[in-house]
Amino acid sequence: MMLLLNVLKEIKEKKLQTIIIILFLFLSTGIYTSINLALDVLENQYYQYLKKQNVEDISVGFSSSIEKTLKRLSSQNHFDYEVKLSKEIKEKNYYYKILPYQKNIRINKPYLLKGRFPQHKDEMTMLPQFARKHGIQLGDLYSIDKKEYKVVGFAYASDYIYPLFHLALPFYEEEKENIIYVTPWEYQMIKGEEEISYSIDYQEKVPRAFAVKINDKGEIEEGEGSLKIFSLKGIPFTLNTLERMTRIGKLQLEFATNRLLASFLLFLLLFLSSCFLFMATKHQLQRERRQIGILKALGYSSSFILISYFVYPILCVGIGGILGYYFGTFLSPFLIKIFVGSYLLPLPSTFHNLVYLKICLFFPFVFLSFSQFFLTLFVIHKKVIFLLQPEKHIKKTFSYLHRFFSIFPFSFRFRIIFTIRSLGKIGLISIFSFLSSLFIIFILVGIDLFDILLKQTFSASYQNIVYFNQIETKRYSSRDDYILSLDTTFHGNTITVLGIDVINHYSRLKDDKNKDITEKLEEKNSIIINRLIKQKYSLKQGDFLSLTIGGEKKYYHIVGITKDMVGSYIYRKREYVNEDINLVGGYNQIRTNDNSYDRLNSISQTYHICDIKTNFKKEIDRFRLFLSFIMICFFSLFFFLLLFITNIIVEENKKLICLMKVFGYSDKKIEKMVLRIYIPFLLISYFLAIPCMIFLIKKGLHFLAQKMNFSFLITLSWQKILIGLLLIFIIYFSVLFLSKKIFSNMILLKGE
Amino acid sequence: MNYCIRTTNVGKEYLVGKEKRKALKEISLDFKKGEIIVILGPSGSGKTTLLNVLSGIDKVTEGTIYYEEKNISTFSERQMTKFRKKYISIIFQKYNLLENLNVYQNILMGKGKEKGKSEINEIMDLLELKDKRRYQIKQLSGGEQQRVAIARAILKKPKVLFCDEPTGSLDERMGKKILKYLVMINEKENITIIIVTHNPGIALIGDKIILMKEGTIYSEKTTKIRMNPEIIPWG
Repeated sequence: MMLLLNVLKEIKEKKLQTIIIILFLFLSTGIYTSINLALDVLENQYYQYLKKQNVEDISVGFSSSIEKTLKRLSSQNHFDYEVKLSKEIKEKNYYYKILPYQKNIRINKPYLLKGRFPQHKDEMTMLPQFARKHGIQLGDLYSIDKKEYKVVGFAYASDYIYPLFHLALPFYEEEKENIIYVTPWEYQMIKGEEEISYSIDYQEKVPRAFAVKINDKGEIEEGEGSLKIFSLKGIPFTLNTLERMTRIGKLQLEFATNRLLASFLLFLLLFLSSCFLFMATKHQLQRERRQIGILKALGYSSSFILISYFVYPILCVGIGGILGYYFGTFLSPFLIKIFVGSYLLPLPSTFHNLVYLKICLFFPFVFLSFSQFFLTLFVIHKKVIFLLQPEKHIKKTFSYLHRFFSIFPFSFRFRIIFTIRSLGKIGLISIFSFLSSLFIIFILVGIDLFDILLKQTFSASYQNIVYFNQIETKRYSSRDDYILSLDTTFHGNTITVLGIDVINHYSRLKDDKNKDITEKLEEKNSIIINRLIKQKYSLKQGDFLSLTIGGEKKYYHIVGITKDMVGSYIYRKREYVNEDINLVGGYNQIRTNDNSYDRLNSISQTYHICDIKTNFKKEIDRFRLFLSFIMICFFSLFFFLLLFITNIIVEENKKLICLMKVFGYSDKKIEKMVLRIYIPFLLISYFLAIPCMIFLIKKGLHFLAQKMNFSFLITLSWQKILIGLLLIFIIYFSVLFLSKKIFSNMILLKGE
Repeated sequence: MNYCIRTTNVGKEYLVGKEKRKALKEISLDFKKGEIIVILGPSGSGKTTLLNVLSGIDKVTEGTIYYEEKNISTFSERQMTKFRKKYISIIFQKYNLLENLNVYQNILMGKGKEKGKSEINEIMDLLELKDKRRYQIKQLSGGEQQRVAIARAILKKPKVLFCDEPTGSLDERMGKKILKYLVMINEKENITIIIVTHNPGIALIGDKIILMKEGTIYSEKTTKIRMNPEIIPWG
């Protein structure tokens, strides 16, 4: 009991250090609980939603021949299918998805949040997100397609969990995109581009997968990992399927990545907490080695003393873990709101799972106890006589160093010896400043990653891309660029061949150095690839690419690489692409500033560059917010770590500091000699982190390029490097300022 | 057997750099139960080393130490800890009190149990510490701290009490007072007390005086009458 009291009083003496450890445990368990709990609740909600709304397992494109095939296969494969209709309208920068509401919908049942579904003509439901952004209440009138409708309810379309309207606008914008249910009769009356597909729902639940491979013949490739849902032979698989699967299943991907992030953060912070505890215990044991000696001399057994030291991890984990769990529980609803910010999923209501409380207590306790146990054991097993003697600081090796550095001035010599004596602390500071530097570099690189992407990709002066349903030959205006776009496959992935005119207005191809390379396409079998293709397939200028354009496989010479970073594009002279498919002057896209093409019946849709840019910018802001959050977290942790270590250094060297003060050294001089010794290590860590992070980012982006349709250009100017360094120094010197205050107020007799 | 401690040819070697240094050479001694033994000698004569090996804090490199019939020189660290808890108490020159605990809690540490509050009160009464029971160690004078150390040491009623320079850092008045307590405890509880000191005056309170020089027993003398601590010469 008394031993316990002794340790507790020691903890009371070391308030700041204990608080920092508890804070780290609180943060690690809090972050872990909040993310996992949010994901648990959300995952549960997601699967219940899929089940309750009977959301499709797969969707296939509509064709006249498919109905019979589906009917035949449905009984064999035990699935149900239903025709799905939707229309898309664009009005005043708003995108509307119009769906017909029928009571007997079997697959993809709509989810009503408030009000009711449309029963009469002139009635509609809409997304609550859109309504909130525009201040629309139930009973209000809302106009689409030049007709007013009464808003009778707020509802979700269950197959639009991720509201992806089309692949050109990959990020959901709640103020611009709306899903509307109207009666089937009203649906027929509304003009808009219609999409028809079949939704298939298996009676036996099957796992969903997103890795879809289409072979050269346009068939789904089966093989390792190929899922049951794709074993459905004879059903054409279209791009529409991929889009629909993303809409329903994108959230599922986030579960896995976010769980990984939560576990990573938990273990990273636990590792740091253990390092802190290790240092604090080491420091405490150094102070208490004599006391341990006394206890052993009094006849207390080592195991008895050892057990009493477990009070430290128990206390820290008890407070930090429990508070962290409740903090996580408190935080998870907010996180859920952030998670589902881009998704249309009803919010769950319960946020408790005691399993996480157990994890929050168990893992930190194991981590902390291990470090505490081994360190305490290391001291306790020593002989009583040794423990009762004052510790000898200067080891034999150091005496050689003393001799070696004797030619240098005293203060330099002092710093060197002092540095060597605190190698453990230097190691920890170096590791953590290296980690923080990695994050700083990541943030500095990442902060304008998307800006560069936008600038490099959408720098052209045209405003619209008009897509036609089929290849046209009629020219409308000489001021526009006519493009022939054909899809082909390369290594099993779809890539787009863009046939452009060498003399054009908006489609100049430029390389990284901004040099115009369009004219290189004049050569017969030449192609220019974009950056994403270069990264994805590790290609370079001068390589030959085997491609099938228009049915014939040919080798094409890569004569240049453009700087645009979105989409997998290969550029070729339009005339030659036309020749490949035995046409003259054919095109299916127009790049223009003219808005009048919208009235043509032959167009499928028009993409507005400004919309795409706005859509991307919204995501950029979210990404920046995320980066800022990471930055604040890591800077706070770095600050606490430095504060913790300097506090221990001041504690350990109290006697020395007091002695120096007695000898007339100023606080500034003491600070220089005792606390500024870490500056070179901060610098080394920072400059070592730069190439490491650049390498990691390059590897990461290369991986992303394989999976996504983006490629990024990494830039790190010397100004950014200086900013990063400045940030590190600001933290370091603010910690030094606080530490200096501690020893400025030190009473000289305390050193005794 | 009337002997409490018997040592035979005890030796202790230390490594100083690469050189071996003999701190104790062939020490053979017998201490009887209830005796006060005073070990005298100049600095570096090996008296503290002798106290350390006798109390089991340090191990001998040669020879044997018997406590009644137990040969403690063969004991493991764990056995020694158990043995110390049961038989031995030590009063250190620098008191070695636990600074985080108050006077009462420090004394209690000697026994390790909450039981026997009346015993603690009695000892605190005896050592005039009753009114200081809630005091923090830092609030006490040197003499008071030494009395707390004594109280802690005698609470468990050891068979042997080792005192390493118990008055080394005290003035004459306080030193004599402490010695008075030690004699009183010896008489009351029949505890064997071994005192290591460089103060020859203290030798007069002992039953046996051992003079050490360069790690060996220079002389061993048994006194017929113990002198009252209050009248011994100081220093």
